[in-house]
Amino acid sequence: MQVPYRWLSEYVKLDIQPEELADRLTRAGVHVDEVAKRRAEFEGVRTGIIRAIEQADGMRVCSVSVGDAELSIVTGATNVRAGDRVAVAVPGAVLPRGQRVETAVVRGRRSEGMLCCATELLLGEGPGNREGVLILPADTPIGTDVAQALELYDDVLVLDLTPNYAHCQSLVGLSWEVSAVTGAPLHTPPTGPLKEQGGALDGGGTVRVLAQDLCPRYVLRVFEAVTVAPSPLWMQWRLLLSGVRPISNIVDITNYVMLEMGQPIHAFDARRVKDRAIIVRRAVPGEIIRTLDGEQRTLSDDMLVIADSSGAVGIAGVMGGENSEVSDDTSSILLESAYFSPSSIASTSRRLGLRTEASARFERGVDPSGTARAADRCAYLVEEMGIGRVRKGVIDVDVMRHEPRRVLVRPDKVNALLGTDIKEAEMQRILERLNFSVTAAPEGLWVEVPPRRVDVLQEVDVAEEVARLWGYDRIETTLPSGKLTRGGKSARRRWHDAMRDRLLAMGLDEIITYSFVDPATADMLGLGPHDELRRAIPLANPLRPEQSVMRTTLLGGLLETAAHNLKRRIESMRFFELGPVYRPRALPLSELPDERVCVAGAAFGHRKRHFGEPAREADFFEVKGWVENLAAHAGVRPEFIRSDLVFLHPGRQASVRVGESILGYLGEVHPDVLERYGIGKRVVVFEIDLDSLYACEAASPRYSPLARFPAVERDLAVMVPRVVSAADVEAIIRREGGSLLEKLELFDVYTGPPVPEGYVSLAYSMRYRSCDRTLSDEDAEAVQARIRESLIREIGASLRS
Amino acid sequence: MMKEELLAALDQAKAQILASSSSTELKEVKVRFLGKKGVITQALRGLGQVPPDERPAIGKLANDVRQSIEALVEARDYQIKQAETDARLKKEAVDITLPGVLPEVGRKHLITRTFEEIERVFSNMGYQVAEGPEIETDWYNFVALNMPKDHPARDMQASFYVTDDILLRTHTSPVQIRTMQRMAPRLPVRIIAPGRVYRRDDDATHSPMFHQVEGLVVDRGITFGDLKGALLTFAREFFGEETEIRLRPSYFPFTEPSAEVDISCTMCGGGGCRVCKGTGWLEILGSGMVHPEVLRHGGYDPEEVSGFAFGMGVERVTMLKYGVDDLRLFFQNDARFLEQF
Repeated sequence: MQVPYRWLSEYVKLDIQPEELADRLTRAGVHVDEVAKRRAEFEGVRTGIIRAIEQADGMRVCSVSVGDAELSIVTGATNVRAGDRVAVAVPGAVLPRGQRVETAVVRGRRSEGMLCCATELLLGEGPGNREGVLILPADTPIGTDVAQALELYDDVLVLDLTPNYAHCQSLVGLSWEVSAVTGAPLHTPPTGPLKEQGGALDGGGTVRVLAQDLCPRYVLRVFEAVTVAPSPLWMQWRLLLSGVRPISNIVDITNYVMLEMGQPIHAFDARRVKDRAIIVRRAVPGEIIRTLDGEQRTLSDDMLVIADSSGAVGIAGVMGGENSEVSDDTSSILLESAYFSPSSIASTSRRLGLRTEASARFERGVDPSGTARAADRCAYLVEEMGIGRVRKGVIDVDVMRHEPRRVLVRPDKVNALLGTDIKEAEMQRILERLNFSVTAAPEGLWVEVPPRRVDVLQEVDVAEEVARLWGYDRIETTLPSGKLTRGGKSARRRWHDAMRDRLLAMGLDEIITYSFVDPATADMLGLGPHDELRRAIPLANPLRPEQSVMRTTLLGGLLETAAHNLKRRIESMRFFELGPVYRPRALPLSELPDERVCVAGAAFGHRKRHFGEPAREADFFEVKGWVENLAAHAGVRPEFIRSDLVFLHPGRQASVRVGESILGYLGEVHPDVLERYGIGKRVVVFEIDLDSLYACEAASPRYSPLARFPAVERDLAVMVPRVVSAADVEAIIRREGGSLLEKLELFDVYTGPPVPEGYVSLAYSMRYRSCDRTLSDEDAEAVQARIRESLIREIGASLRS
Repeated sequence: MMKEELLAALDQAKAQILASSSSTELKEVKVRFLGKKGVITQALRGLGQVPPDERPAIGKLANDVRQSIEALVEARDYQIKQAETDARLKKEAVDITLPGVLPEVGRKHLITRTFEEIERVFSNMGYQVAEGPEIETDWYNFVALNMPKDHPARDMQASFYVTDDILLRTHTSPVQIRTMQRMAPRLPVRIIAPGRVYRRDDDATHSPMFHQVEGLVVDRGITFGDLKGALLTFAREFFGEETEIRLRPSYFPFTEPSAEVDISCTMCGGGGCRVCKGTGWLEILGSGMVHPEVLRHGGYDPEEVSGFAFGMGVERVTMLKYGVDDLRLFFQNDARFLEQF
């Protein structure tokens, strides 16, 4: 909402600067975004008077006095006469849109400037040059700047209104707020007396409301003998400042009154409404209407239309139809001022994707008591401006109950809510400043709410009125008292935090990516047609296809992050994301989905290398270490089992299993997938369902006594066929080592000569210890021997010394 | 005769000890004089041939000489070891300007960092951290918060829908309802609810996904003044002790009265600058007293209890605190951004 300050001052006395008013309104809840200085966008245009006109070669050459100079100006306009006062762009003048005016020669005649039309002065907007040159009032002084003479300057308050301040969508409504914060007196715009020439309305028009639930009030006035023309400059200027494009006097009056009083008005060309008989009804399903913006609209039966007997002539409260539009040759007007159901207008406007100044006001609620007053105001302006004749009388189909809304307000309750000690009399004074009438009673204050305040329904609403005018800054700052509570997080959330800390401690940076992803991710990962990860929840109205389904895995975000950074020549990274994935229980969704918190990480490029150390590229085992580390925090030892996920390297991937459940996977990303993401480096990833891992968490570890007897250390190198896994070797060692084997560590893996092709050498160190005696070398040797024998027998190992 | 020999040997030993420059050399000298076949040892062995009346004196002299040599050797040994250590340490000097071997430590995402700070401040004031689903029902996201279908305020929060009835939550406020329903009729309720939220906006100042922290306190006798107090405490702990707050009337369907909350500008301290557009104030959150209808939906009687609620944009406060000027940086995950914090 844009409010011209000087216009506003017609309704409420303003003796403070606009900036100060803006500040005071904002503190009272009417948010003023800015005070825009609006000035006419031209220079060098002065008032002048036509002294004489000479006809020459079909041109008109005017002698114009601009006070200190006499100019000879050629014009094509036919509406000027000697003695008219006009706006003269003198040589050197600059018009809106940068047009410069210079002395020119037109068919041999010197033309020293230009006579301006209204459009040229009004920011280049307006209904066009139909009238020709702009004729100024006869009392306009000569030789002054036109912007000054016509008062083409103002400050505009740009309001950012919250939906509850429907009543501030008009100058009159806003003037109440101004009066409440400044105490200045109000002047309401005149609506009469009307001359109402001619016969009674009888026969001038009829109204039949067939959908009174959606249109509980409909007021009709009729204007005859109308001359459609551009409206006066002052009106056009005010509309422009308010952000409304001037069109013609009739349409401008409807917009002017809407801005003034908040009531949207529509003017129909009476000739184009059959029998002048207005019907307000629900649309026929599939009914089509071409609206004023030239668009074809298909309607449904919960939308309200204004119609005549042959069809719709407008979408009620949203936009009129092209078929009944006021045009230059319109001579009679049916003027509508109505109250439509806010929710009906809201849903119609949303479904048609058509928001107008009118629909915005109806949606938020207009003053149902002002319907007829607004129609009268239009009639008054029609008469004042001499545009036409107002038929006597008015049709007012009204089924609304205009009973005042009364709210009981208990001052102690209000004070208890606000934490204040505002006296009852002070509350009463505040409310009366807002035009609420207040009656004190034993049970509290009975507050009668003015009908324009559609947002005030109950006691707390009145409490807010009191608070905002009392001043939020005057309310004392306190802290809640009451029972102490234990703050903090749930165990699950603390678990997530611990996992995050663990990953950070391992050197991974944390990333956050969008929850919605491209459905093409599934193809990028090469998932099969029935892969579970394809079962993503689609959004009904995504912003763009790349963000149209809810992710089922964090992997896409990891790979996009890798690609983004590699493109920026960041050659190595370690990072993770901890966040939800969304698994539907059924598709389409019939209940809320399962939101599971997962963690996933990725590594590419070499690990941070210190000088003098060899570089180590990201590989399966680095990432496996991360997973083992996370599992260790849960106190579990996961099993890594061979897996066949299509998006991972077939020989370098594993599923992570704890007990019976698979918690996730890790592995090197398949080169085909990397290629689709444009990644030219090996990337190793993991993903774990944290909620499932949490469920596996072991009880907190228990202390076991420190060893009292010395240990015996032994090494063992085992050469096994490559098909044998280290896990098999380890299992045998652990089995044979029994309770004496305290620690087993793999310290070398070797292939190449002298180890024969197809074999691998694994070197382990073991530590043996007994908890009740000192082990001898012989004891250790006996165990070693058992281990060697089993390895040879069970997996065909050979032993190196 | 023997006396002269001993004294000469002492002189020789002295000279040789001083002349030796390594531990090995010194050892040889020591052996030469004090070893089994050493000059002094031999001399003591030949003591028998000395006339008996001279023996005590010569014997004493021989012992003195031996002790002197031993002392000299020990002193010289110390010197040599010192020199050797000095030489080794000198050789081992490093260029101390070479970089240290840093354990690799990852960096928390800034949003997480802000979440944790906010959680810490409110946990210390006795607030529990609560959670709720991101994919929500229309009822929890709107209706229960006093926004029935076609309510004009729904336009303030353009939504991503999944079905007619299920959507991506547009704010963390549904957690208010879920928490109250879980707790009612117990008192007090003191929670904050951090999380992801979604709105159908994408431009320089809006991201379709962002983060919020919701706050809710319900108890007997909670006032608007208490709301101010809680927010002032937060603002000072988070932005610094000198921070001031300002509450302006505003509108949210689920609070009444409602307030928009500003803090004194983090850049200029309130004097007016480019960041605060000259006003000295920065808007950080929306808040208000819980609407009676919302309390009822949560299972509480608004005649008995009252409450306050607030919701803040995490990106917004993070940008203000760390001077980040582009919202998109939070979700691009550029290493050069992540590494700065």
